[in-house]
Amino acid sequence: MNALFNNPKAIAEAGERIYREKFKTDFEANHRGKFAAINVIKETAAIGETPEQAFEAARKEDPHGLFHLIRVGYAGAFQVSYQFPRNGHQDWLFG
Amino acid sequence: MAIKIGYLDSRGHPYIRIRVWGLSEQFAQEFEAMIDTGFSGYLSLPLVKAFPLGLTLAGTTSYELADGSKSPKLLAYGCVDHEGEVTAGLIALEANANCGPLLGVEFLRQCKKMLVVGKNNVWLMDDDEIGSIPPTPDEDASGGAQAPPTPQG
Repeated sequence: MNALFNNPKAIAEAGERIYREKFKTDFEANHRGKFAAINVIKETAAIGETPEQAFEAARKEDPHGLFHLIRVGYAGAFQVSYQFPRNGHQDWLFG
Repeated sequence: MAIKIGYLDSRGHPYIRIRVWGLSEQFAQEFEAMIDTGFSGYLSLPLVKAFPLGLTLAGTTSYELADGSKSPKLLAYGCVDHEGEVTAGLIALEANANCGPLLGVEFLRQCKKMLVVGKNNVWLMDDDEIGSIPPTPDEDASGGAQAPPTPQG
């Protein structure tokens, strides 16, 4: 296991960075609206019409990979409109 | 016509009762889940409520929140049973313990259901029943909906 990815925050940040640096331009031109599972260890990406398809394609390529899900052309893979009351630090799992 | 019934809470939010599990149905637990059509995912569940379910972790992702900010989440595979109809999908694990289970548009899509909200109740109807919905009184004889009136002045 790569020591750099020993917590979920590191995986998420690496996934966003790798996508931005290596795949964003091409994917937004050719795969807008689809989902991409970014393998943060091998710095590769697998595309799918659904999140499940993207993860399945990514695991086929590398069953031992660590994956971060992106939706091409969107700020987040999912949008949520309802916000529950927030007390304290909400993303504690991600540091 | 398969109709599933939910309810509106005191704030007018639609809720249905679901069972959720991961590795095996023996881990299933029941939840009252709010349906949020502003949520594009399948199911969002507080992490501490997910512990007993045996969910299979898949990876990480980011939510785009209503205020435009981004929030990282863990994703896990799981199953949802609503009145005997079972679907599977990626469940987002929410670190905020104040959050309740939240069902999104992807859940409705996977169930092939449409959400109908009445005065006091909520119904989930098969989406192939849409042809049986009668036209509204505003539709003209040609069967098309009338255009809204043009503003004057």
